[in-house]
Amino acid sequence: MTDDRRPPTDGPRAEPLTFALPKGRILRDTLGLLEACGVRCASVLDESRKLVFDLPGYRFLVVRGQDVATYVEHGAADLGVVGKDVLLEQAPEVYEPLDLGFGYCRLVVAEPGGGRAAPPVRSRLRVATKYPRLAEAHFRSRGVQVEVIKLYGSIELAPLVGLADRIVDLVSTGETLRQNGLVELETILESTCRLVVNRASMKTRTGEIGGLVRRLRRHLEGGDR
Amino acid sequence: MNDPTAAAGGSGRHRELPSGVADRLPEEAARFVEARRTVLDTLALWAYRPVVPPLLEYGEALARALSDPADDAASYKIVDRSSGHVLAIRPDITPQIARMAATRFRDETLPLRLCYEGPVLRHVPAGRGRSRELHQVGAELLGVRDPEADAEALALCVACLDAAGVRGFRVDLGQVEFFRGVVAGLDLPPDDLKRLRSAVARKDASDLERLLEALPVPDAKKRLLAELPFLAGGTKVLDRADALVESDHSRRALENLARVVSFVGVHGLTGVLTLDLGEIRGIDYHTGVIFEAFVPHLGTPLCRGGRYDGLVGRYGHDLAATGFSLDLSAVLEALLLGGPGGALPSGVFIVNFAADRAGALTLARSVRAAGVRAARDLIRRPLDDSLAHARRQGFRWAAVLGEPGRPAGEVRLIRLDTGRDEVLPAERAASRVADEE
Repeated sequence: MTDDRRPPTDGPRAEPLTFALPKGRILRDTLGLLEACGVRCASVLDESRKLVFDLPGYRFLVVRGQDVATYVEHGAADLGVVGKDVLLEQAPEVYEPLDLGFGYCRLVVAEPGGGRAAPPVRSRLRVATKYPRLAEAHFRSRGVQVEVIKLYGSIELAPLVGLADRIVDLVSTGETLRQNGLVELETILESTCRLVVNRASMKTRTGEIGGLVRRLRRHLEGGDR
Repeated sequence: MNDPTAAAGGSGRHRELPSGVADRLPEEAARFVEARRTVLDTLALWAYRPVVPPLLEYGEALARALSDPADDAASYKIVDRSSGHVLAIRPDITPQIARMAATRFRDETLPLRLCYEGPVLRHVPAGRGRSRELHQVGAELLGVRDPEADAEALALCVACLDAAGVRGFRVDLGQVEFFRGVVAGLDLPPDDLKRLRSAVARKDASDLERLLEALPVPDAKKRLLAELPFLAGGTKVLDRADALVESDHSRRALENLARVVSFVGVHGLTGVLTLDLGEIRGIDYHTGVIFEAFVPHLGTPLCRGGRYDGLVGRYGHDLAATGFSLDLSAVLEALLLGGPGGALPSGVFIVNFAADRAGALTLARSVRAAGVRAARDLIRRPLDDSLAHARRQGFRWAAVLGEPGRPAGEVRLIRLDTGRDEVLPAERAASRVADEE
């Protein structure tokens, strides 16, 4: 009984490393960063309607930002780039080894400001948001009872038409809030994009993924200086 | 008015299943049952004796296994009508084995080797594609603190995965006392410790760095903690950790890990092993080495295992213990990812056109007696329809009796894959197929 088990082949040649990336600006930033770290991927931007891009050694899936963690958690992608806000809201079982620094935004509480009639006094505040878990946890931690109304977009509209008293939403500059006559009350959290890694991928493709994480990390640290 | 949902006057739920549970249909169920059988056979070969704990227990008994028994969010609970006590459906079987070991096996000579299998239920977040029902098969080795026992648990786990037919998996080995040793002397506020622990568990090097900048932690520990997410990979990790380690507690943990690794090597399994000293997920009751098995593209681990020297004591009788449990649903998922497989066509489907059924029934009996599966076509229909059904049901042969112009004692035996046939006396049919099966 001396036939020692050989390591299962990683198959790095056979199987591409798969990224799930969100559409839009974060996609451009991520591809720029990967290019700078030696991953040839600029051509992913060329065709806007395609969802899957196969390049030598890598595959890129272009998905909704809210879905990135789901793809990675289930192993449909090995790695992904997703906002910390989404990670805190969804609490997926993934590793998040790097803060990529871009995609900065804040999750804030806002309400209609100056000049508008004060909302009717309710014992239960109605809060409209895309982030029901975080919104509820935030108000619970302050002992405020809220009724969370989950919306999928145009959150700013809700208090203007009486659907909610306040909103919990992402802002980057705050311009959209101002244009809709809303004022910030407080910041719940600040968020930037994170690199996330599927647990099985981290354990079964340790060398490849560890190497990439180290390259990205070195590049990011160099950029800070 | 032919719509059965309308007839029931309602929701249609009587025809559906809640999210997070599923029926397994024959093809998948066959692989499931086969995987379970091979795993149980392997456990028996290693001399683990089966026990069958119940599905339902007192909520407080199961909650003993949690780091905060008051915060049991995982298990389904009901209130017992007669006593008012809270009962819970087990979310995990290991605590049940710990309870049994502390009570029913108190006076048993050691070591105890016990195994089990059965379903567990857990609350899971909605809409995330997770199952509420898992099927665990596991083994526990109680009464021994020696690292050889941990290596045995790991090697047995590998043997079970091998037997089930899983290929290309890796077993990731950690040691939770290494981390505990690092933070033991720090005297941090609970919130900071929680944040630190969460950052390490998520391998979040960026958060970890920010946290460490702000916390009053000695430089040597800072260096070690910052490196912890990356203390993962092959057995060289042991040397890297050895150069960084600064507390006796962590050093002992590392020495223990090295001994387990060396015994695993004797089992011939170094090749499937990865090490990760930063792995501290889900360690409510673990107190030493921990391990999980992974295959690529499957987010859920196939098994979790490790040492839990404190758990049996929570039920009133201190006993060292180590073990593992396989998630048979995840194992099946890995098998399905590995491609089609499962049972090849086998057995005989017996079709009878004679008025007298005795010949067909007798043939079925003799085929089964020869150890080959057999079933009668109980429906009278054209032969082609019978054969089509037999193929769909996974039979390899059809035996046809009573066709026009053939003597009563003769059978036409048809190979369903090739369509080739032969005619032979009924009493020789059973041994004929038994030879080829």
